[in-house]
Amino acid sequence: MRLSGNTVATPFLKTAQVVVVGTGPGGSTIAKRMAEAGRDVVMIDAGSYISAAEFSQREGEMMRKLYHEAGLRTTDDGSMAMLHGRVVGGSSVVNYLDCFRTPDRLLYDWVARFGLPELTPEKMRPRFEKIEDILHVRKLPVENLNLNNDKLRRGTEALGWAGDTFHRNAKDCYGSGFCDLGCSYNAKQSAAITFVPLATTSGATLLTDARVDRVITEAGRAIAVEGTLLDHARQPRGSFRIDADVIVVSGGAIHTPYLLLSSGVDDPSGHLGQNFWTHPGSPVCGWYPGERVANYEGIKQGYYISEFSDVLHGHPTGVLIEGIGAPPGITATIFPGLGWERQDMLRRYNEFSAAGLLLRDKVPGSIGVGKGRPSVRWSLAKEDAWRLKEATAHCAEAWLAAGASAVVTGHSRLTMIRSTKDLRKLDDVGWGPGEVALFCFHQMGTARMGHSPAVGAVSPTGRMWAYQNLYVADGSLFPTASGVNPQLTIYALSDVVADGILAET
Amino acid sequence: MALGAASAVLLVPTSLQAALPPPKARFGDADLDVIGALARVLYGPGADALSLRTSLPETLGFMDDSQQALLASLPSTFDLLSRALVPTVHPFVTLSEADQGAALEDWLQSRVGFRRQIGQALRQLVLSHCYTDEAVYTDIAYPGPWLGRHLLPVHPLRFGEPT
Repeated sequence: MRLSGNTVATPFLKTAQVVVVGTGPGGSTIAKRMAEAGRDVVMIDAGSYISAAEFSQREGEMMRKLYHEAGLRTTDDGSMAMLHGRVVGGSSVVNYLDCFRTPDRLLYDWVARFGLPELTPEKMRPRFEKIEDILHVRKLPVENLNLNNDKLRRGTEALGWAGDTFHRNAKDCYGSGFCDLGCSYNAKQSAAITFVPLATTSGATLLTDARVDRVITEAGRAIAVEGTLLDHARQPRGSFRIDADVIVVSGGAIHTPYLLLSSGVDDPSGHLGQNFWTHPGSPVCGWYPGERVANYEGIKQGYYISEFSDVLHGHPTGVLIEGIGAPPGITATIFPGLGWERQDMLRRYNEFSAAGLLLRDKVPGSIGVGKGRPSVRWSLAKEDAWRLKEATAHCAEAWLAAGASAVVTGHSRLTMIRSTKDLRKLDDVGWGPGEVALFCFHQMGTARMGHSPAVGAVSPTGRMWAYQNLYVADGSLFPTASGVNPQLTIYALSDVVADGILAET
Repeated sequence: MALGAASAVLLVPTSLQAALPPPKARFGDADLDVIGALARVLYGPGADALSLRTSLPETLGFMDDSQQALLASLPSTFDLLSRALVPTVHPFVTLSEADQGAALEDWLQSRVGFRRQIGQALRQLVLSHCYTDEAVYTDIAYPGPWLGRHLLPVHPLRFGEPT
């Protein structure tokens, strides 16, 4: 059953065996598993259910409708944009479909350092196989790369580096190039059209446009969630309360700790909200004068350089370099300059290739409770800035090897690299707040799993230590940054949590 | 889309907080005038033909209350702090375009962190809205949405709708 906060009677009161807050890869996995096990499930999302016909492919409109804070959320210091979905299906609706199984060396690290024996590659493999089947994950053939990604491939191969095409959760993709604004054709197999309907088919109730404001606890048990029903204009129109035997918070690594901390839950570990990993990234663009690259056309993210990944190849830089299509609104913020100078560069928009850096950060931030909003405390640490500079240089080398006349970085001062000799310019530009454009598409780690409160905010089954029936299932669970696009890991860890809930409650 | 943004207001040092405007939920005419002037400097010729006066307030409507107040305060914070820091400076909108450009560059490249970040937040807010305005697409040879250009069927859902 699907209900909307736009229309249900207020106050909306309900009871359930399991309530799941959030419908992204984490929450929808829990809802599906619980409903299939015969539990009475209600899943709640602050966002709306948006069908293919409503994805207009218009950047401004869809950013407002699909992203938290209309895509304007940043870290508290304003240095990095935090992009994540607020819609049924969560960030799986707006991601670029990249699917990596959690790398084996990372799983072994999590098993060893955090005491998580269920996460060995052998035990995780069947979970990945099951999830990939539902999501229709397939490797992208090289011949399907757009020109932007093919240039990245050619540059990578010319330099003799390791790289590959992505595995993607798509079926019959037309390559329209609007993945980040929702798929207008139902090709992207997001949680909204896979795990969520599989949950409702098994009897789960979906309540959309309803923001959970508080988890209510009593004597070591979570007993209910309370929140605000939202109207079509996203303004409050009433309240709701759902009492449940089990409560699972799956709001993502920013909203999950924010909700739990602002609800005053007991956290004996002290880890809740800590260990906030972000995969900070910065754009690096190649310039091919007179050639129509049109990085936004076709499959936007098709190829990645893995040569400098620590989790895939043990390289100390710890970065994936991923081809990316940049729509005009984002491109405009990357290029520096004023007035005519800027207009002139943007008129060459089609001549630029683009790649994003996915840095596996070593120094985490934290999530706290601000005035009515999450406080996102994160700044680029010197150690990570140094590695980001290395990664930028490697990406520039790849574009130059693919024939670029110049490479433009995301710095606030125009930084043009015309040859490998120019890479030294990266030593002279700033990497501090406001000096380089930083993006975060992946949020992780703020309720990390561990064998005891000494190392984890939640147990190996995702349970908050002080409660018998309060669980977390989303990217918050990651013990460390994954170093690869995280969606499959979120589904798989949530599947582990689902086993735990079924065994413990 | 827009980066930086509302949070930048939080960076203003306590010693300068007294110069800030009270929080508000909407852009006023004066704020939109500052935005318009910034757009002329940042975007350049043709900025007045863009729809920032409607698209920015629309964006604000999709934000939570606390963020709305921060974002709506950004233009007046920029303007008032400009004058608080350098009392000889006139309101931003009354400066010549050349002086506006110089003043904005001063913020963008400032060695003082909060000034640089507020400048960048405004720059990104304005530019992201300029370049999501479809009136710009022809100028940058961006074809825009596929819908309407390519008539392709929507695939049937493998697992049905959540009903």
